[in-house]
Amino acid sequence: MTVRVGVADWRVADDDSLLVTSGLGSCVAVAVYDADESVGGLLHAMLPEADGPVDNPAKYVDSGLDEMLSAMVRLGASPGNLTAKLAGGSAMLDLSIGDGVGARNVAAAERALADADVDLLASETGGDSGRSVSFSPTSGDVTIDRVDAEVHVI
Amino acid sequence: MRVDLDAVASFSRTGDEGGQRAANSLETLTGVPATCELTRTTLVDADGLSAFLGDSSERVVVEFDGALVGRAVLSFDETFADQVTGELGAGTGALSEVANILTSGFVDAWAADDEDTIDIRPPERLADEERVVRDAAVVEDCAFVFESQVVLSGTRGTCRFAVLPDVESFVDYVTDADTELSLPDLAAHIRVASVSASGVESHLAAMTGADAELVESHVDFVPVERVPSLLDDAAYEGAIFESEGVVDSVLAILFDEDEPGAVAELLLEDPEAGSEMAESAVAELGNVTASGFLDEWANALETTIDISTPSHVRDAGGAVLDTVAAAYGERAETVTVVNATIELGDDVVCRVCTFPSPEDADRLGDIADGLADEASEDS
Repeated sequence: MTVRVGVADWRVADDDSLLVTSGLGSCVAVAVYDADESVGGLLHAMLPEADGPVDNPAKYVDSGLDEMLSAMVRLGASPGNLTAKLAGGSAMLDLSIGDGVGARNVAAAERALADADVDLLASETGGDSGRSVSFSPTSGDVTIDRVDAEVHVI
Repeated sequence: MRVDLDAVASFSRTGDEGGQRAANSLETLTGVPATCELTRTTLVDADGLSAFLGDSSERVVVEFDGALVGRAVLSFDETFADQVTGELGAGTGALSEVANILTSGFVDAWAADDEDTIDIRPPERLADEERVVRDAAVVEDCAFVFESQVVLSGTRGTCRFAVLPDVESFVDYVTDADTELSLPDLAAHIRVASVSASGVESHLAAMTGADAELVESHVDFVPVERVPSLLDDAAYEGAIFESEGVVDSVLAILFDEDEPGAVAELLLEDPEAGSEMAESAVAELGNVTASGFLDEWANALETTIDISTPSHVRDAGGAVLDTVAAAYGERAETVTVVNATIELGDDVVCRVCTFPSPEDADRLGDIADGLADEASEDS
């Protein structure tokens, strides 16, 4: 089953589901998995850090990752055995607003993963084009698709 | 004229909560993960309401009564209808069942802060669209629509879920909500969309010589994380501008082409002119479109609005809007988007999404006032 992950959303799986999300501009996709338990989760976050309690934690990298990791542990993942891959955070448009939110999202994801003792195995971030991402929790493969470009797997 | 946009934003948040509940109910019923991808409070030109609702062959209407009175129009795409029927195995009754639980999930959010309840009637196949349009909450030629889109995993089948309250009921609901919101003042915002879209239509026709036809225009109030879903993930060619002046804004001018290069061909005599020339042609067309839009605003406010040099894009529509939404995301929970769709010849559709800065969004009311004054002077 292909499971859709929306913007400001996360999904976890412990089967052969493929978690997919699209329309990543300056947003980031954080894929986390426990290879031994075949439990994985994919977060699509829009902004770096929540400023206090928020209605939708998945909108932010830090609170979204916290929430998703808890759901993965409930599904059987071991907190000491998690690894991650990261994609997104592009700077597609030359806008005077937003203060480089793509790069700040990437930095926030790296920081949040380090704080949670999750090793970052691979990342494909920045650049000036959008991405769609598919994540297989069983293989750990993150497949990245772009308009007018070859598919890339990390 | 200033409208309390926080009150409008609260409707969008309530709608989003309802859309999430509806998606959760659908997921429980079918066992298939379901996501609410788009929620918006939308002002639609009453004449364009039918076009806005679309022409899906699978449409169901569910009437409701109580704290809010009106009807929901659910439009299922073929993929969604097939998937639901396959999962539930209930033949044609499956869609009615889905319409029922989606509507329940959605309207519960609207009744949550009210001692009253909202009762829903059995779903019926939509047979009389004219009646639906006639009964919609129309104030001064502007219809109020609350829309969510729920997507099923596996196939990406989509259900558009449009709530159209009855006008009297909606006026009462707004009054009971104890806001300072004036519906006639809010309704006037539709003038900004329709006049700007007409400006673009005439500019594009003059520039390209192609037949330019305005398909529809509307104003959305959207939770910021739902903005990317205003466009699909198809590749769009286009130009992004920023404006400065009395209204700071970002304009995304995005062309959906039947064939790559179709936009450039509208301006270039030599189709083999090269990518640099093609990008330049797209930027020029974007410039004309942006001017068509903002000139109307500047005239209404009797001032000038400067626009930046464009950023060229060729990317997924959702990814482009994602970037704009994230740029505004730390300053606002809900953003206003003025939209226009114009067909340009047979092969190109131009989508204009204009995002006034959240701090300047209430200037749209002043623009609407100015446009009304211009219209009365012309008549």
